[in-house]
Amino acid sequence: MQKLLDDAFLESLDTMDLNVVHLQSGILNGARLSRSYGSSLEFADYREYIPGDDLRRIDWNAAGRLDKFLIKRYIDEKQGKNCIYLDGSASMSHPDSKRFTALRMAAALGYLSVANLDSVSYRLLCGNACKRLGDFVASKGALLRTVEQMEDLLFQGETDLYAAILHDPSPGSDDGITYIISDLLTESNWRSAVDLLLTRKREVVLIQILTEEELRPNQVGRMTFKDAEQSTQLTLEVDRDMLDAYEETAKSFLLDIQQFCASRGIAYLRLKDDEAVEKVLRTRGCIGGVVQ
Amino acid sequence: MSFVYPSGLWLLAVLLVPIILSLRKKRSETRQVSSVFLWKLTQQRKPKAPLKRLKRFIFFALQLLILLLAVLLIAQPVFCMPGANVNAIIILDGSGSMRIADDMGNTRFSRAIAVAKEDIAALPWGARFSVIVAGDEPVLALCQAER
Repeated sequence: MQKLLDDAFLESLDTMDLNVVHLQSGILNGARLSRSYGSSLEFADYREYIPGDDLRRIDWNAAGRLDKFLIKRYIDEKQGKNCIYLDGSASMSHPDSKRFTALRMAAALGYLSVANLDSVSYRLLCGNACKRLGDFVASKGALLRTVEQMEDLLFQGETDLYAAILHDPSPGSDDGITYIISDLLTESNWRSAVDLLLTRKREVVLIQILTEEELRPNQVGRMTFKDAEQSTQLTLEVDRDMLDAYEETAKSFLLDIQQFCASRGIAYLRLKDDEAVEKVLRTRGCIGGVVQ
Repeated sequence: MSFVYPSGLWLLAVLLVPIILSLRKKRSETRQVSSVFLWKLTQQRKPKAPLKRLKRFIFFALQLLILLLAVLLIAQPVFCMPGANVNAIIILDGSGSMRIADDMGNTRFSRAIAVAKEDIAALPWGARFSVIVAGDEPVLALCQAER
């Protein structure tokens, strides 16, 4: 069985970084520019000296020119706390390549987080619950251990994305990015879950994984479709017209998601189960604003 | 209607084949899919096609019609007119007394012709009739004419 994180895969990720627009806050120092003033090398602006300020921070060149004592201020750098939500429904493991791609994408995003001095935490969404797969990890070693445990993760049953995210006891605040990895083939109101995270000032990235069969089925005849998640069955007379109608529906379904993400200003990345995660991140991930 | 080869009509049983096939419930292939979500959406959005059912029915009726025509071709039907077995003979008296005219100037012979015409009109379609004028020597005026 292929490992989620192998050397060649990690090597290809080393040239990338997560695209963080701006951290609003954060406790630990890191490498992400925040909106507060601090002690990075990134110059922000000047302010007048007030008694009590560190004399070493006075810009003496400016004092010589303007006859005023000015203090140079720098943008603070904080550590981002990223959350990766994994849709744990049975549809995500049908076929198994879909499960592998989802886990690999999660592992890649986790690796990119810790490689750029952020911390990351994984959560599995099953049913109405949000299960934490360990605490926040900030080192590569800890991440590799967490990812190793995730390799045997089973996706089963149904997931209500909205209810599960709503039940997350620590969804975070304006201190990082939340990634949602799912196929979104659900009647659950996942849009409300995204809105909920946005109201908590999280940066949200939606990653959708689908298979070729889900996008373009090609078998005709009388078919009984058995849902992997529910016990429901659907019997249909599938002919060419039906397949065309299915493709149209799939297209408008994806367009609808794309438009929703654009309206909320969140990044959206779609990939197929047979695509290489590192390649998708390097190409469409860069364009879509997931990585840089 | 009669048939040259009435035993060919046994082949009408062939018509039962498409009928039984159409009545038989088609077996469906069961397939496990990740989610039926998009199939359900497709079902909701797909416009109903009543013409499609009509098209299917016309196709089925044409199948039956072609089979029926093939069986009839083998049995070779023969169509008979209703009066095919009727043969009428009208004998007109051609003696001299038939020349006597009434007050209107119509001879007995001309009145006999008018009555004969009415009789012929009353014959069924396809009936055959002959007219003989009985004089010193009988004359066959019309032989086996068809109504």
